[in-house]
Amino acid sequence: MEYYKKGSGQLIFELPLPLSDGMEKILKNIGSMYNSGFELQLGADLVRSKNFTWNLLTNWTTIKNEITKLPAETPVITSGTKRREVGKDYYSYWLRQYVGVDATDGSALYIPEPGTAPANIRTVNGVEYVTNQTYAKFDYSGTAIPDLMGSFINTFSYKNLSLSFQVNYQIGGKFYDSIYQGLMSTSSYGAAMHADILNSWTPANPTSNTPRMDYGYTANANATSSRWLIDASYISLRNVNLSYNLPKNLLGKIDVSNARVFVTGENLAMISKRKGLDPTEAFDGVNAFTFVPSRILSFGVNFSL
Amino acid sequence: MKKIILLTGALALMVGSGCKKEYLDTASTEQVDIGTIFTTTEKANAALNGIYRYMFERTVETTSNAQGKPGLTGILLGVDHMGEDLHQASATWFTSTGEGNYVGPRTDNHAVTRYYYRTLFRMVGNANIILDNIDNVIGTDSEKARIKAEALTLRAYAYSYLVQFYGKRYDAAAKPNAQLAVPLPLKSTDVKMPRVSVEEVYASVIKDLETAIDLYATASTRANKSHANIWVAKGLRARVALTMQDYPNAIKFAKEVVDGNQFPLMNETAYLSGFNDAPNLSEVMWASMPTLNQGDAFGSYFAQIAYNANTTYQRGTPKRINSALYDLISATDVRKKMWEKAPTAANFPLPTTAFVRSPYMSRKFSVKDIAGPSLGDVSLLRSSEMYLILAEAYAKAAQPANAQNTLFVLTSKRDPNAVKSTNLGDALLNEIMVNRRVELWGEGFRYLDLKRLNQALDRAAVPNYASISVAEKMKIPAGDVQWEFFIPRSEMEANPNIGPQNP
Repeated sequence: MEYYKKGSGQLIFELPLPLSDGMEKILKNIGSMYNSGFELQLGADLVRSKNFTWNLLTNWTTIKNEITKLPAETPVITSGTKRREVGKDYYSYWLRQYVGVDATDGSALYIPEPGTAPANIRTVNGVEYVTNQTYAKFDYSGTAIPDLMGSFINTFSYKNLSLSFQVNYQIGGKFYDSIYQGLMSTSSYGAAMHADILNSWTPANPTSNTPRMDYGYTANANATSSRWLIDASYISLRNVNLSYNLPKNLLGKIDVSNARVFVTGENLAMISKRKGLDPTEAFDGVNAFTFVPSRILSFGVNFSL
Repeated sequence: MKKIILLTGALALMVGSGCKKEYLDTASTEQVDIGTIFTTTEKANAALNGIYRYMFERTVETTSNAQGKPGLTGILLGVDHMGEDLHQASATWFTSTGEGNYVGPRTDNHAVTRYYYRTLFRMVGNANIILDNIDNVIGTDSEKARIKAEALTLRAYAYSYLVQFYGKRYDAAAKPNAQLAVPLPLKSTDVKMPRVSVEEVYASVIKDLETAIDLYATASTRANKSHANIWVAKGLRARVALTMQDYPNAIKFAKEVVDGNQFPLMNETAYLSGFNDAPNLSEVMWASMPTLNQGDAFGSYFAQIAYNANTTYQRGTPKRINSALYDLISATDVRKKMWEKAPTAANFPLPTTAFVRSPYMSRKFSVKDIAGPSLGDVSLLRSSEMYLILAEAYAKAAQPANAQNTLFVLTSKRDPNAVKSTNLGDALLNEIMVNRRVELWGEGFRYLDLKRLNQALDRAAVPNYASISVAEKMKIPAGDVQWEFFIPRSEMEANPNIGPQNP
């Protein structure tokens, strides 16, 4: 078991400047942060008999990140879906606050930014919302960093036969599913869409949690917001290996000291909150069009002379 | 034409911690610092050329549909799609991706508002650095005066658009116009500036243009029409005066350009030649002129609007005119030939069969060479606009006879059968506006005209307008908040002094 705390200072940040300035951004050695957490690894033979062994190796990791210093002239740096500020972690989401769908017309409802003009406010059941994302309030919306990451490897051995599998998992953290956002947006005709869009609000389907499918309103209905955050927890079957050591009496005849036949599979399954979502794709929690980890099946024979 | 490639970062201050170890060469090989640029007028001129080049090049300010955003010329195209006179049959670039449906200007984190804002402010920023440093370089006084005057003209030009996009319209009856426009940095050290009033921005634009006009008197001549000169500054001054409903000054400056007669109106042959060759089009006062090796087959103005540009966008989506406006053009007017009511293979030949024909499609703009990279010179200022400004200002200033005469100079050149107008009042103004809409179609005016005149946008009144192309955004009332662009989100976030967002 290990506890770590590592601080870093003078980090290079890309500092955004106003668009009305001569330059849009500069790189500066600013900012400090630390990472801390526990790492725990346990390994044991749970069963050990003459012919059968069950070995379990497991580990857990936690990470806490905190920004401890930013320059006085830019105490807050907003970048993409994240905002950096002292006391927050580097992967804190800063997003418009999505609430749901107005059952009367299928508009997306957001929490209003304080001070929004009354003309832009829509009151539903006594609560004030806005339907244009520009008036929506930004707020911290969790972090991409999970509460716990872990894995375990089970190895079963019976005589010459051995089976092991590795399972990775993570609990907590948020993932910003921009691919799903794109597939739910209807900004161009003839583009691929997600099947969930079939459940969009219609007068006949007023209780839908998906805003109306409106070509002219998609920028607001499907704006970058807390709507696209999803729990980043997952569990994946990373590796399975089945192997068989050929008996010595057979090997003697061909003058080989050791021979092993095996079959291995990698990346066999992943269960996450949304089908097809791979939260391991990016640590900052925002996905893009990338290849999923390839599923590999291998067969082989190992000889040792 | 000499255009020196200037890396976008050429004017960038070298920032960061210079490593002082002797064995490291700290001079960047891909960027140039201010001290190197501003040594001679020749090098300073390269910085100036950088602005001109930036005005036609495919944008680097956003990656979203960058191909349809060729610098400032892309803004001219974009705003024309925000009016009703230029449109297309289906929803593609300029209609569904931001401008035509008004989503771009009215969504604070949209690529469109970022692109407009940043493109214009980057012109301002680079002009500011030139103005801060030009006095100390080595070179003749006449070259210094020219570079300085051009930088002032460009800065005024950029601000004249910024104030119209981001501020509520200027109202001469409500001086001072205290409504907020944009920040007004006038030196390279002006950073994180607050929004100032529309009145202040216009005051700065006028001051820059009038200072430039004085400077041009002692300046060397421009190399070609891609550079601004005294006539350009006067033309812009007239345009700004018209926007401010300052009719005496609109008359004064437009008349100076007209009387100067440096840019005689084009004859019919020139008019039909495709609006792509500034040196040979007599009435072009100022143009954005990419050279062949700066051509961009897809990311240029002509790639988006020339009838024969071989791009997927143009092949499938020809630009059409408001059919009601077309019907108002006299049959003998050369401008009638800019569009074809019922195009066929016979009356509207196209380079390949992959090109689509659409009723009322335009042939106003043509690429220089069909086999080349969609090249053409984009007119930024033509003397015909001066006649139109002059006629409108005369009409508004209760000088109908002068207005009729001025309009007739233009219409008689366009139409051998033209008759001098006898209209008065609104009928006269309307006649001038019809000519203005027809003459300046595709050059970035209609939306700004509607806004400056406080009129409503009514696409429903256009018989051939395809509502599906703009997601049914057919009407915007006069004075509505939708006439103002939202300040880009990234400006609101990075500029603590910016002030409030538009309503």
